[in-house]
Amino acid sequence: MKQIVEFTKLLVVLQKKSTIPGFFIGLMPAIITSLSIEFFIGRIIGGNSEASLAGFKAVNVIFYFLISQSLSLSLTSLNKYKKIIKNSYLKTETVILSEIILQFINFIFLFLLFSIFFGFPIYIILLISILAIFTILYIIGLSILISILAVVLDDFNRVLGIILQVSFWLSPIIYILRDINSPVKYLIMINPFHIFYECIYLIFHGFEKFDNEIMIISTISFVIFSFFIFMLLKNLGKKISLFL
Amino acid sequence: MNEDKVVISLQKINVSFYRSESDNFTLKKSILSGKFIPQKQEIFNSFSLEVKESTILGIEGSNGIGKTTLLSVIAGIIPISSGKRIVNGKVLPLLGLGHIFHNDLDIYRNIELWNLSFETNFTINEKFVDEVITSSGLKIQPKTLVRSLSSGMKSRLAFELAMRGQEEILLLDEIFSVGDKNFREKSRLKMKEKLKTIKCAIIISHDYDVLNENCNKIIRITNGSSFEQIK
Repeated sequence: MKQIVEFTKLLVVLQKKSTIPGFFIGLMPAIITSLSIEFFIGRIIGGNSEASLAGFKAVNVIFYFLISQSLSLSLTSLNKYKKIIKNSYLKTETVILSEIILQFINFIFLFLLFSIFFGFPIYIILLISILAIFTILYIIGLSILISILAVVLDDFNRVLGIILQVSFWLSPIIYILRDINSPVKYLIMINPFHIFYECIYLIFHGFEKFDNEIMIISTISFVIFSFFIFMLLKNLGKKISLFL
Repeated sequence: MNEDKVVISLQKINVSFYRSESDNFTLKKSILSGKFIPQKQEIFNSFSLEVKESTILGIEGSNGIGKTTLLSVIAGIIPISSGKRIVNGKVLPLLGLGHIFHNDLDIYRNIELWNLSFETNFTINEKFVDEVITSSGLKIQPKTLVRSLSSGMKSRLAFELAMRGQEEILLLDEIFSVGDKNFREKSRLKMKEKLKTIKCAIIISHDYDVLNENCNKIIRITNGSSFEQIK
């Protein structure tokens, strides 16, 4: 635990987030993207029908940033600190956890900022925070499992970049899944991360919008994906030092 | 010190590596070849070694025979696939001076990185960092970025930190071959003093004179399962 705290502090310095301006500059990509989608692109795509749910799309975006940045940065870091891990007692889990903790801090800060700006009710703040904690725990587990791929495959980060880009468009971040009336909606539902966005949708729109079909397909896809990754990589993950 | 007490014991260990780095293993290649795990390479097969208290063991052997891997195994950084590994004492593995530093951090932060990477218990403050810099003979500031240091300067810093630790077992990989003549001479003397205060040490070097001067026992690893004693 001490190693994780100390390494996280060093990462803050390395990422130039140890000063207030540095911290805010680090948040700019997420702020610009989320507000552009909330006030501009999202309105064009979804029309103004969602205007009453101010902040919903902005939260979707920072949730996407939480998932994608946690996954990609933690695995990039692993390669960056490979030499140190190989020559000392710095653990791979420490590097992964520290990067994810930083992304979580970014998320919480942005979410609180948006909560004040958009005036979210307390129940939304609470439920989104609980969902974010579950998401981050899942991402930690997933990152540790797939870290072995980041070490073994030289082109993994490129492939992950493409996967995350596809996952952005296959997630109802800018648009609303229920507005799609073609079979394409099933493609979105089988995105293993869709369940998180569905939960955000229900938190914002109320649980009377609960749709059995969407929830069942999303849950099955999430469980199958997680089970597959776990079964495939659980034994390899423990041997990561042999691949470094 | 009890010279019969075994500090390090490796009993019939097997160690294998996956050669991902050298094979340039990519997703495209793995899909085309149908192989999703890189080739496994056996380094040690039923290898045994015992190091007793007060022993300064020197190890030599040709490149790629597994000398550094052996130190990583003793340090517990690399797991063994079978056999038994017993190490009685806190270990400092110096598997190459300077590898542990991060170029984009300053000296002060790099000492913090060292502290957490080697699980040492330095109380890091400005006074401590100044002392380390002065003792290592460098004319730099705590805020100097490590990227501006030469490899010799990094080695001096790493060596000074290594000498300040409270570890009982030292694992040293080619640390006498870096730096200028002056540094080598000074480090040799410091190391001699340090070796008197620890349980045991293992030194790897291609320079037989270095081993002969510092070690009371020398072995040559001949292959992954055996070694010959040459002193």
